[in-house]
Amino acid sequence: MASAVTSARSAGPVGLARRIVDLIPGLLLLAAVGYAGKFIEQSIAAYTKSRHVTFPNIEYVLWAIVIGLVIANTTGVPRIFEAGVATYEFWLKAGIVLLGSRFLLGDVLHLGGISLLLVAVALTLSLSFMHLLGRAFKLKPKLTSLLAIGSSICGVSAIIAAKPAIDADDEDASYAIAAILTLGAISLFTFPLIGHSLHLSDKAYGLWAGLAVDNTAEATAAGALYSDAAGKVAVLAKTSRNALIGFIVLAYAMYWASRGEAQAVGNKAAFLWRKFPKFVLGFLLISLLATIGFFTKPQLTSLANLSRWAFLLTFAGVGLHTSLRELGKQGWRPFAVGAIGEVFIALLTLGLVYGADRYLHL
Amino acid sequence: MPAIRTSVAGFLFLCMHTTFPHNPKSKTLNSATIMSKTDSTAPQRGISLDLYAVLLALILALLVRFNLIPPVKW
Repeated sequence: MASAVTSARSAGPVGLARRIVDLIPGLLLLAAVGYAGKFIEQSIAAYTKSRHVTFPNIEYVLWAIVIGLVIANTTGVPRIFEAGVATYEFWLKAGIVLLGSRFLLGDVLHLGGISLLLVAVALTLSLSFMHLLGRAFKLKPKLTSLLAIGSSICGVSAIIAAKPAIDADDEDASYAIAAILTLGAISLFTFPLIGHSLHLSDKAYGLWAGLAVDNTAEATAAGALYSDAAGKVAVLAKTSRNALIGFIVLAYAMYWASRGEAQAVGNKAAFLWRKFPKFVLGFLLISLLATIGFFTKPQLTSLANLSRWAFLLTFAGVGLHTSLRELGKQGWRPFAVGAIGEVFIALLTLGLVYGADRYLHL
Repeated sequence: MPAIRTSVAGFLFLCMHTTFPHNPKSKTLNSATIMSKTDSTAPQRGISLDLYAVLLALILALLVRFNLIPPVKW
């Protein structure tokens, strides 16, 4: 990838033009799939309203993911679309920053503070539990570390951040990523069902999805599938969780270095900054600007809508990037450890959210 | 018009400097593919994706703030 950038720079305008052209087909596919989801939702709503039929509203999020999944797992995504489709995480992060406009800084500090408190409790217990499970299933210690980091903190990003820091094998990282992705796809469909059956409030459900679902894209989607308000809270909770990546990876790096199985960490502050997800700062900045009245009310609505458009591209990308066949090919033991761990974390965070709702008044 | 020029210039700048990591969810989920594309020990030439996402969001926020783009509808 670095060489691609170098070549783009050295080739000047021609390289740049080529890079843009490479992105266009995939971006159009993301937009088409996402918009199709929105169109289906609106068409069903209009039809049922005109016929006075009662029908549950199925959000565009689900349609976009399902259409993407169908394409990815039947015809497959042709190579020409890959570069553009891979931008979906970029849109996710831009969308999260823009979503900051929908939060007053006080709300961010209140809910973010509660999230961080719950994350700290959940992290301690879930990391310990994952290590016990790894030992019980005789997984390699570094694979267990990666699975623990992935399921406790931030899915794939955390695994990718931790892999070089603890000097883990490529194979281990691939297994851990595959297990986390499979479980993320499953949670997309199970979390909203569980949330509805338990009659969770939007805030409680959003907090639960943000604390328990691993990948940021999947956590955002799982929240949005429940309701718009739940999606907002899920993003905030997940962002709080993401902010801790650096600290956890640093702790693991120091542990493995102390055992002589990874390089020692030199400048810890620089290490933390490198691993810190910078979009969290953008989110806080936009939230601060909204709080001090930098934007008018109609402008805040525009920013919120821009954020929804960015998420629309993200949700399409989630479906288009999930290959069920390939995920199923991974070994059963990492998947089993991940699955048991995820159920544990889901139950644990659900209990914590119930407690927070009762005693900390979400 | 200046707003459109700013947006286009920003987009071109992003395209030139942003490195979109290969997402490990893609079809070829084997270790070689994933790690050859995502190994963060490799020299970092581009600025991280996060920073460009923040930059794009801030540019959009300013365009909205100064009414340089029409209201965005959903």
